[in-house]
Amino acid sequence: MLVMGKVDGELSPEEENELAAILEADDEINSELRRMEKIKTVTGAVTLKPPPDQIWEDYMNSVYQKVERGVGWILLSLGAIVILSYGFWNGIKGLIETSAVPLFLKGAILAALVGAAVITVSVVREKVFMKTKDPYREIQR
Amino acid sequence: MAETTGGVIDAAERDLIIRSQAGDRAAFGKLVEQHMKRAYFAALGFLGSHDDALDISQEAFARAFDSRAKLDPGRPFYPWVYQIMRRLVFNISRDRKARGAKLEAATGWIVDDLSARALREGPAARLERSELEERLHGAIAGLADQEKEVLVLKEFEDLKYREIAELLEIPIGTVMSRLYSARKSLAKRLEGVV
Repeated sequence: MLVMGKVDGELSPEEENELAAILEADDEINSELRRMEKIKTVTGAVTLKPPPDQIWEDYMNSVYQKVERGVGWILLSLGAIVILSYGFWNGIKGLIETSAVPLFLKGAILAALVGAAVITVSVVREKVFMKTKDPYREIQR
Repeated sequence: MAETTGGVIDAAERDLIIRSQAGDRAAFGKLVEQHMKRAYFAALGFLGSHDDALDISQEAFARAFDSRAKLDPGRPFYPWVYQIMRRLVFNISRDRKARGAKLEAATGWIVDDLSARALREGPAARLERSELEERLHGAIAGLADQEKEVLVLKEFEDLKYREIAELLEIPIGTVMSRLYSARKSLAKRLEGVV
């Protein structure tokens, strides 16, 4: 770590002395320091390309558009959930009450719907768990 | 001027945060104005794409606005936005890796004075520099996320170890070891040209 501090010019005078003593005694550390200094020279010469000035003028508007869209998505999702739940409930109610559909078919449709609901809830729960609790989510695979 | 990487905050920024929390959009706009370039370049250094950097940095500010009630007015604004942004950036990076996507426009996002020098040095040197530049872009893009993040903050933002540690909320030793791994990996990938 003293090598890193030396390359970046962040050593205290005491650490400089400590490193100097190590460098005198160890050729391997010497060559490691030279290697790191070369890399520092290359990366230190790099700067990021500035974007056109125009983007800074429009930047804030785009932030607000994103805020508004976020609100829009929340409202749309809430509305869709209510409408779908209402439709689903009425569909089930109609299916149970009707005499036009044979009993075994009613049972099969209900079983399929309950199965789909169980799978959906399970997948959503797993996704939420992975997103919030997975201790390895920032580990590089 | 606000100290944006540590725990110190100046009165003006504190005032803007409090006004933003009360729903003052102009005050929030001023906060964005003060930090948008820094956020954009941090994202650009990491993602290597202008469009992604613009989109992600703006998304981070939008999310910051949505959850501004949680912001502590006694702490600087930028580290908070940066924490939001780094999660978004890491998600994009993970998605890219999952898709096996290559870095878009691999050589268009950085400029270096090595290239400028090469223009004055003639065709042979130019060829050598252009190979170095290409390999360097690829090498940075191929680093592990956490190593790339520290390298970007050190080399492109020119932050001190202490400032990086405060921004990422990690010990200075971890900053140094990630930087060391990043440079070691770059040295390996640039073997033969550096």
